[in-house]
Amino acid sequence: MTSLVIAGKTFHSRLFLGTGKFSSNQLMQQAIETSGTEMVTVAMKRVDLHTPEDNMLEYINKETIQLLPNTSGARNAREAVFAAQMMQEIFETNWLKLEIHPDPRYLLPDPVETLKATEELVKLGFVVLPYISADPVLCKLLEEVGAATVMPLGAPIGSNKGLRTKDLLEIIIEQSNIPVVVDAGIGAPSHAAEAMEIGADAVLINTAIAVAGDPNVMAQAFKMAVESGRMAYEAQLATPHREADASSPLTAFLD
Amino acid sequence: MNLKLEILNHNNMNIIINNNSREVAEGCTLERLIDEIGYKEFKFAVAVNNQVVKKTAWDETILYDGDKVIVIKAVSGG
Repeated sequence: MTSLVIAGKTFHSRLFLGTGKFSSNQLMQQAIETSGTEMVTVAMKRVDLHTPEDNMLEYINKETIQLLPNTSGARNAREAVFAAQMMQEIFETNWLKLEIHPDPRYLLPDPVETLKATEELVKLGFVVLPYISADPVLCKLLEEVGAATVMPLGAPIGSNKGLRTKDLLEIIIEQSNIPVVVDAGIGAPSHAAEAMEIGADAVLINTAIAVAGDPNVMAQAFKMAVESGRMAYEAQLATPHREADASSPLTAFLD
Repeated sequence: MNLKLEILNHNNMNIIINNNSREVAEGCTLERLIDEIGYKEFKFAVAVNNQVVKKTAWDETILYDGDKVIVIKAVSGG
């Protein structure tokens, strides 16, 4: 299997993992290790001055894992740029999952503000991985302003519906000169394999692993699915036909 | 007694930290405020009046009455 390169950095695993929704930091840590991931998303929140909590960063090995802070909570480009600068202070990385979704019901990303913020953040020296709807035109615009990848959704965040945007993802993958990471909506290993089979460069999974009955085993299942899907893509899949095409010789031998 | 109280009031001011009012000594630096908060194991990001203040500048950043301070820490997220 080939490696993936984003902004000059090589990744051997094409499975990126979100760290939200795990019932404990220990389970999160286990899933990170089992999944073989080399990039995990993290977030930030205001400190509750009265309630000390566990420091989640202690559970992530920063020697082997690239942190990808997200700007979740930002409702426009201005807030996202502020969030990015705060993130850089905490996580000491200029990598960023740019996420601007003003509507809490569907959490769909705002394309105009995302493009604006990407342009500004790239100029400020950030490595920007924007979360977006599966819009091929937007993907090209983001590429032009210097996004490191595009991260189109398969379905709304946490919906587990799979690749509802498959036709558009195929166009994005065909046209993109930067890596395409399918983010959001992947609910089962088969969805992840499907994304990899159509040529996605990586997938980002959170809910499907974190809320599984056994997150550790599910992390293993996703690891295998992503590897399997990528191997199939690189080996070049057979094309579908409407009619049968015999696998055994049809020459007569009974007459 | 009254005089003492007056001096005390004069030497303290109120800032807003994460939407809560907090009394600090006049001339208090950001560094000292973060020390007072505690939880040394956390790495914080801090903004004063919506401007990010890098950690290297905390000790030279003096707070003024009514300043709005935001203190943020890492959490898990997707």
